[in-house]
Amino acid sequence: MDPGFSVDDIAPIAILMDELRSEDVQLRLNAIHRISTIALALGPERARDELIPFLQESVDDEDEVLLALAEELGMNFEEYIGGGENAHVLLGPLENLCAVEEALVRDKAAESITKVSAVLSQAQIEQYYIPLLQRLSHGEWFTLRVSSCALYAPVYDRVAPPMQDELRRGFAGLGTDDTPMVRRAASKWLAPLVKKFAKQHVLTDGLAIYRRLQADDQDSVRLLTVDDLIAIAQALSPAEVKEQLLKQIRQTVSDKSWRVRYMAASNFNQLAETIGQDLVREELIGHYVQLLKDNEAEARTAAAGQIPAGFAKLLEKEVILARIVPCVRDLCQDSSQHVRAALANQISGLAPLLGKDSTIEHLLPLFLHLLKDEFPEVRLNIISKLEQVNDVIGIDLLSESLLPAIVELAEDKSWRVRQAIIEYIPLLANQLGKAFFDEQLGNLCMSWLGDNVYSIREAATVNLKKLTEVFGVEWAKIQIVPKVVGMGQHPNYLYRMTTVQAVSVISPSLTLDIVRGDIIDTLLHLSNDPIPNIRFNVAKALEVLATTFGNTPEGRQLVQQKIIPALEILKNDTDADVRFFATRALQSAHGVGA
Amino acid sequence: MPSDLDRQIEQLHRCEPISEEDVKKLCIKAREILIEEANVQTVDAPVTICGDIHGQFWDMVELFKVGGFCPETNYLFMGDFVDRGFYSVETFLLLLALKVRYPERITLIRGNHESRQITQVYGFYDECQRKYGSSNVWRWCCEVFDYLALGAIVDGRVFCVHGGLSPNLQGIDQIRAIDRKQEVPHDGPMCDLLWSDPDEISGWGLSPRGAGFLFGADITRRFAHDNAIDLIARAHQLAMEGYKLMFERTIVTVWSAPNYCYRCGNVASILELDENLAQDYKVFAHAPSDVRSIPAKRPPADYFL
Amino acid sequence: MLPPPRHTEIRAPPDGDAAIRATDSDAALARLSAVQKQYLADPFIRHFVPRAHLQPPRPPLINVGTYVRAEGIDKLVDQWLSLAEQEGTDCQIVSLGAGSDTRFWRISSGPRKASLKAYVELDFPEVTMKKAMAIRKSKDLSAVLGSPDEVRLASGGMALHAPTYHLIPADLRKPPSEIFPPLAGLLSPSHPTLLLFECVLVYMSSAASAAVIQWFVDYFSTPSSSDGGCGVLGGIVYEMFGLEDSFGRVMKANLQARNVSLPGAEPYQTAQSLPSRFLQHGFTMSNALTLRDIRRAYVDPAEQERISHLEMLDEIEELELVLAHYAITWGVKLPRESAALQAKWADWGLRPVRTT
Repeated sequence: MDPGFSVDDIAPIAILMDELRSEDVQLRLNAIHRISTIALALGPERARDELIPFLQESVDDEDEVLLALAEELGMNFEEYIGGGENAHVLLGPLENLCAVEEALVRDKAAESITKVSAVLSQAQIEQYYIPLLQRLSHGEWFTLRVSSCALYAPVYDRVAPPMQDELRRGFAGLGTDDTPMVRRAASKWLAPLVKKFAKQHVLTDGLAIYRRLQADDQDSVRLLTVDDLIAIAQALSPAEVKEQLLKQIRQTVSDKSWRVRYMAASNFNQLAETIGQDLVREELIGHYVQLLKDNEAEARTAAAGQIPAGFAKLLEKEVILARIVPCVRDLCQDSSQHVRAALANQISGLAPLLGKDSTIEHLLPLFLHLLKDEFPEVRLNIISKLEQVNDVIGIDLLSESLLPAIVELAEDKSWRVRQAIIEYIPLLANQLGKAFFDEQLGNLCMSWLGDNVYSIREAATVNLKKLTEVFGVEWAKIQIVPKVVGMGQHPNYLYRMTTVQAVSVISPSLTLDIVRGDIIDTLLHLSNDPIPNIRFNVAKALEVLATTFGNTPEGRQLVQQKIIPALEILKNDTDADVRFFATRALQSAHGVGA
Repeated sequence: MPSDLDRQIEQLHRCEPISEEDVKKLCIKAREILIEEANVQTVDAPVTICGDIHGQFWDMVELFKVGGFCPETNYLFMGDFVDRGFYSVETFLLLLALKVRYPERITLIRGNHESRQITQVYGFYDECQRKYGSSNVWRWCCEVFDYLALGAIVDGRVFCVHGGLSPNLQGIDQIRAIDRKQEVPHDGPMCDLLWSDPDEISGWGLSPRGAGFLFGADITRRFAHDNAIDLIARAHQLAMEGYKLMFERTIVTVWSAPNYCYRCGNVASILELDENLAQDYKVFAHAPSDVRSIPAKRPPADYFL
Repeated sequence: MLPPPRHTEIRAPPDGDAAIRATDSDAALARLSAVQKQYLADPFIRHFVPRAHLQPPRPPLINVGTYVRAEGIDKLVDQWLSLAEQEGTDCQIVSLGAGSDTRFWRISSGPRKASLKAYVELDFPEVTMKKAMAIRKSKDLSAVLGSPDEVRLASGGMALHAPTYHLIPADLRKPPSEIFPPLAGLLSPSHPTLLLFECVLVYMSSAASAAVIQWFVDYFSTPSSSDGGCGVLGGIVYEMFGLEDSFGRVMKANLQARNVSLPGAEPYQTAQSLPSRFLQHGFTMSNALTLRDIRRAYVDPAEQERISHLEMLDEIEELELVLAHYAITWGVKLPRESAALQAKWADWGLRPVRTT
């Protein structure tokens, strides 16, 4: 609460009203979020008699504010108005919110009514909730009827059987409403309601309402019935499913609207589990393959996204090879880049399902094809998932077939693709061995140090460090250090900078001998560089050397004889940043030297 | 102080706003530094020159990935840090924190959007209100805007300004005489420096923007000749290819907001001047979509639907 | 190591329709903003936007674009009504995908009120229902329709009929034989009739929009049973085009993220290709102008001057880039016995007020 806000001498409702009149939405929003504080100040009785009626009658605001109100009233607000026996008072303002045009607000209001219903007694439900539900269900505006659909399930099992009969009839009426919006809401809320039905009522009322909605002329209604189908199927035995629902299942998975098919596809796993493996193999696989060949790119994308994660897992390897893989082959050539990108993301997931030989025979050519795709996202997706393929076919085979493609991608014009390749290099190195690596990839790794993108130069130095860890310091001394140090003479300062930064990164993985013999002089030379950025990076690098090697007598000697004198000079540099980093480095150097 | 600032820089680099109290202190410090700078600040090469950012924070992070972060790389930003994008607050405060932490490594000059009037129309004011619940942060930032330099000159050879030239200014020395510590005026030399555009005309023309002027190749060449400069680098105009050289390379527009307003489909660039003033334009695209570049709750797309 | 795998979330099925319907509130908000900032005068739009007085204004670029679009289409419609007057008859307007358009109310409270024989609006049932609700709630809107006993709701509140005005729910992507029969009783085939398509065909397949236009062409080439004549048929299309460049690709991607796709833009990659929209249906004449062209040369200089002072526009390149991707296309189809016509229908069109 604001300091100085004294609830005793100012009428809290007046303050609220005032704040709700503010031009600033944020202030009105804040006011709504404070209604529990105001209710607390008023006490339960005045909150019931003054605050709730005010909220019910006076609040007409931005959707955002109404949304906040709907939410606040559902957050145990009954505690502020005298507890559960008064909770029905909250239904008033929430009923109003069920009528607004913005669906988010209505949904939140219905959600809050559901929460309130949990604390209502059976008597309160019959006296207040059911009449509200009936008013909404027969409301003049469709918004009311839409809201009512959500409110049947929460109380169905809390009223007496005669009232249950009435509720089923009421809901069936909403399922045949004139306006598609209401039928859509009925589709959406049928599943939770059906779960509360006794089995006999699932077979009578539940099935009837579902079949009517599943055959709706609007695809937006039909697509929401997939959940209803699953809910009903769960209540039935496999035999009953086959007898009662087979026609609907067929219609849904081969609906003329791809959006319905898409919805069915996205729920294949759940559907499959519910209806049993027999029906999956007899029925669903055929439709799924159709979806992979769908006319709509969006549907193909969705279907491609299902390949390894779910549906394929339910099938035998032979079925995948015979039915899915041919589609995948076509999708690699798809005209939509989104389809290809989705596929590139998922295709490697097939490798574990197919095993080594089939992956080599069927998938490897497709990887190579996608690696050359014209869209960077496709290439990137493939590269990022190669490890999965490694596990199945082994690095030898993978690198042998992929190496040419990788060398090509190492010079890709998208720097993120180059980066993805660099990050893959240490893994390759580990498997390829020194000789093969030096021959095939050595130059590439050095060329990245001169890349025109900073992040690539940075990744290149980190890569050299990792390679050092793979191949050992003696290898680094010969293969890496001379080239890195050599760049310190480059006329362009960016190369000299890379030298300094590479020294910082790699040195901790090297030995004192190499640092003393091959590196330190170049670094000290660069401490006189005309560019201040180089000089303060030298200071940083010297700090790294001091802290890394200062823990041995020889190391301390290097610190005392070379590092500290250089830093002493830099400490008095003309540039403030050089002085700062040199001073900091000196402190570290003295710390280890002591 | 550095450790406090280093922490703020880290926080802002994650696109998390710092506290209102920290903003206040930062702005006071920044003013102390900026008040000492000249109207045309002298800058040493090497330096990387950047154009409009417009609150596209994640794209600026992309810029730093391509060009290197500060202080490793020296930067000169030619204004229009704020407005239009979703993260003007984080963008400007990060640049300002870098300026305070490394005053020698980064130069900020003023764009036409660094103004009280324009930021109230184009988003920065609303964003401050939304993120801090009051207009304090906006007010302090605007006070900093008043202290920003109007231009910069690199090694005496490359003149940098947000918009362009003014019919009232023949020489760089005349710019030095302006009393810059004020809101951007509606007309006059200071306004022109921030609002004008080069155009394929001869002499001076009226600007369709309603402020500043259009100026032709003749004007540009004379200014370059009279002031012994090789290049005028400016920003202010969307360049679909990231940069645009004109008038036999005497002037260049550098644009650093890729896919401007998340709508234009353009690439962006930065201009790296090495220690010998050799020019290298680095073109880059907007941050990929898996880097969170647009808030979850989107404003309506700015199209006519 | 390798970059972290990206999440492929299972998205809710793209309810393209809901997204397309939402484009109407965008349009209404844009219009409201342009009205509040005094680019346009329209006393009716606020009744179609909930809590209109609390809506924040849209950016200047959107206001300018909304102004140019409205100015261009208003001029064409006004000319059409004036040609009908010269012809000595009244005319009909059919607005397809009308959304929360206020044109009927503006015409009916203006000087050309008498030229209007019928005004029909079609849109998704969700949209027509909202509109019917808004009309019933507002005295200002209802009053223009006629006396209360002449106005009735139909189809469970999805349709509304008044003496001149008719609001009809329809999904325009369905076969015309299913959706247009209700029009037969409302439209006379012998009167000049103007079809308005403001940002609607672009959301449909080319085949579906061609079917819609062809239905009207057929309807107006079948001689009226009462007087035997065929009416002049006109059409105005306003929407985006040329979406294969980098700006267009971003637009498609941005709208796709809101589940809006633009299949109708596919055949129209250049401004020159736009008139084929009507010419392929045998229209006598068709022309197209981009909003950039209209802003540059078809807006009265005094108006241009007035507009330029309403708000400071920071970015001209961006404005031109955006406006160059929207166009107004118009076309007219004269009946075979057009020699008998009194008005110069073939001259219908926007005229430049200055050269670029």
